[in-house]
Amino acid sequence: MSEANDIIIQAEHLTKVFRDFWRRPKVKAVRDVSFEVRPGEVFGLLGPNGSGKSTTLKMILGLLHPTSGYLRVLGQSPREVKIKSRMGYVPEESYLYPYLTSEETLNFYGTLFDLNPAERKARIDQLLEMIGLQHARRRTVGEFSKGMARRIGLAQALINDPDLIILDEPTSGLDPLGCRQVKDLIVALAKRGKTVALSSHLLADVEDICDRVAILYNGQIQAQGTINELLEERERYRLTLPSEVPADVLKRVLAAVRTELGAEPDVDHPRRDLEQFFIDVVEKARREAKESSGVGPSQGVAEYLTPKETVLEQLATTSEQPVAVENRSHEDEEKKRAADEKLKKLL
Amino acid sequence: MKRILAIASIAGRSAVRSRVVGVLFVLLLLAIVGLPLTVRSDGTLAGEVQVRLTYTLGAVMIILSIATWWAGCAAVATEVQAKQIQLVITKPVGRHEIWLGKWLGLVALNAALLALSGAGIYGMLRWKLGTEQFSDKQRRELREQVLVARRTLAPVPLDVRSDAQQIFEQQRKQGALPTNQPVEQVLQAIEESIIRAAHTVPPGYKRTWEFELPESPAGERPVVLRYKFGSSAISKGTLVQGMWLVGPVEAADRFQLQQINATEGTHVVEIPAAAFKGARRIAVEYANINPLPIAVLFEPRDGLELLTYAGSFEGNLVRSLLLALFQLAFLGAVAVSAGTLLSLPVAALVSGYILLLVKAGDYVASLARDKGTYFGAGPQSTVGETALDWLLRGLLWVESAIVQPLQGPNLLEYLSAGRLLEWSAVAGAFLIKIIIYSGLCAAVTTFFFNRREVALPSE
Repeated sequence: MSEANDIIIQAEHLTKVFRDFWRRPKVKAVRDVSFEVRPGEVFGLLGPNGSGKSTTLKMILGLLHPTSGYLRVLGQSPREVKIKSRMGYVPEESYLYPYLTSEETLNFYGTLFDLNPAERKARIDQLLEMIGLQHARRRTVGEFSKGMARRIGLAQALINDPDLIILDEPTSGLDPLGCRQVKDLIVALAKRGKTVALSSHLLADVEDICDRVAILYNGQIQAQGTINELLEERERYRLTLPSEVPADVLKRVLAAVRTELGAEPDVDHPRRDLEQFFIDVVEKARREAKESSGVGPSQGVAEYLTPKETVLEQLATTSEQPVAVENRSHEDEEKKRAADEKLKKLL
Repeated sequence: MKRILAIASIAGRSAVRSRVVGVLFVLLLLAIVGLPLTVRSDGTLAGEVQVRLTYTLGAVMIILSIATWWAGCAAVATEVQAKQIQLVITKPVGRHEIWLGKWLGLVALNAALLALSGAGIYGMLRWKLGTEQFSDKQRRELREQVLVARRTLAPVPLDVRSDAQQIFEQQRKQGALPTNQPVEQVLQAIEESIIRAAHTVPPGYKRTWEFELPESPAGERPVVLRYKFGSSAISKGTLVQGMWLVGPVEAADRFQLQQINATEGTHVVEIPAAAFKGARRIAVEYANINPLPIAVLFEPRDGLELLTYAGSFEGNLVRSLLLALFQLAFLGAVAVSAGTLLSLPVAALVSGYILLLVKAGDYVASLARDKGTYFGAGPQSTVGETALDWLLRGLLWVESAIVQPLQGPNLLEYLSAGRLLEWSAVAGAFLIKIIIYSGLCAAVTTFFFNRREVALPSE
């Protein structure tokens, strides 16, 4: 058990009841929920619509007040104004002022954090570059597509370099590229020791980035733990062979498995996931196109949010993928056909 | 402070970019330039300028009041509805800073628009005087009656309390008093009748009032005696002949002026500064020399006033604009408070009702002062006061005590009549409307706003 001081978010028997005009209980949105979020952890609240995820996050943010239970954020009551300087919040939708430009929006929120003008300007430049909207810095947010506005929403949450970032459905409204960038960003922030709490009903998103999750249904936690604890099937095994395994070797391995286990193993080729494939295609198209009114190329994570060595790592892993996707895909297709032939012969 | 100013600037940008300011600007321009073209006056230059000032500044105040009321209600209420407030509240911003930011934004906008309007009204006036032909007499009248700031002095009030007590005791002994009326109400009626008698001049009689001047008038500028009266004549507009005698209290020979006036309207008499002979305590005497037996009754409240020169019109205009700004700022404080705690339509209704009560402050105060019965009965009834009377009187007293300090001079009347708006009145309005009442609005709103959940599913 962690020391109380180390816990970023501590919720014990948290309950939220929404009441009607006459103060009669109407909806019990959160029921007796208990969990902890520790420093540097990416914690996910997972559940279908109406399961109480957003309500829980809004109680953590001090936007709603718990009906009963104990809730501490950064060691204080969530209604304490002081702790807000260490927090960042990305809401489910972009609740921005439509008549402000991107730059004015970030400048406004930066001023609320009392950042000095020079620092504010530097961070705004880096953030706009990070979210790929440096070309739209003087366009009003009201003109933006949902995805572009979401990016500004994300940038405003990071202007203060927060210790705790709370994201409500962070990938909602974003294209696969944007989703990937947000996920990469969350991972980068966690690497830097930031704590992240997010809600989502997109299981893949949560699985990719969360250290621990709590699954909510009908306002109650149904399961809680690390991704591995929850998903690992300890009684089953998966064997991954190195590439270019000679056919006769593979044949012998399969025969051995049949003999030793008395069961037919499943054999197929691993597939790249569609998200990665999509990102490769779009990246290639973007390099060829000169102009776009939408989201421009992202330049990785804002410098002030990332330690130097991690920036290099980050750029190496996310941005620098100068692979000719079409050629590679073509080669892949040929390889795949040959491998399929080989597999058919083996089986 | 930076945070408050940032929130205030957002309010300003919102008004500019949502074209609210543009529309307001056009409406104000129409009021300042267009409205004077439609007004009719009594044919004199002074009268025309008076009407212009009253109409244009009145229209400006109406436009800005409605805009302030609506924008104030919407300032936070629409942000709660559009959920933008959630992003602000999750930043290190106190709720009092949100209130102050929104209110300051509104005040700054009003200050800018009022300054523009004031400059526009003054510019139009100067343009008219510079381009059109008027006689010297007309220009002199305008300078001395309208484009000036004159101090208004009322007669030294009469102490009638002891006289009223005496009459009350006499009538009580004679059994001439109604038994079902409260003592206070009867005393008040006797006091009023004594005061009325002191302002009545029967035919062939004269009556004297004393005035205490802050300094004796000197120089070229005359002092103006302004009066309005009724008469015992049955037909309206009857002409009444009288003689005014003005001079130091102890002086035997006073400045004299005979006048024949109709009983309708307000009349003015110019008294040369020399007539005051350096004295500050002045006697103003009226002799009823009407050939017909007609009594003259001067209005006890404002039937008799001395107007002395106290400053320029420009200074008065600036002070009137400042007073208007404080009035709008208070209006904005009520509206922003309502909009911070309630949804937009409810906030508009509630704040509208509160502002109506403030506007009716004088009426409420007179009801509270009137110590009679409300539900019980009139003089013929034997029921007397009921519990409801006590309750209503208590409520009226509380309401009167709250709204009475907010009552101030009628800006339009003062400015157009060339009456001095004192700097002390400006300072008083700042203290009461800005520091005390708007401060109270901020404190009460912050208390409840801190307890308000701004992310309820019903928002």
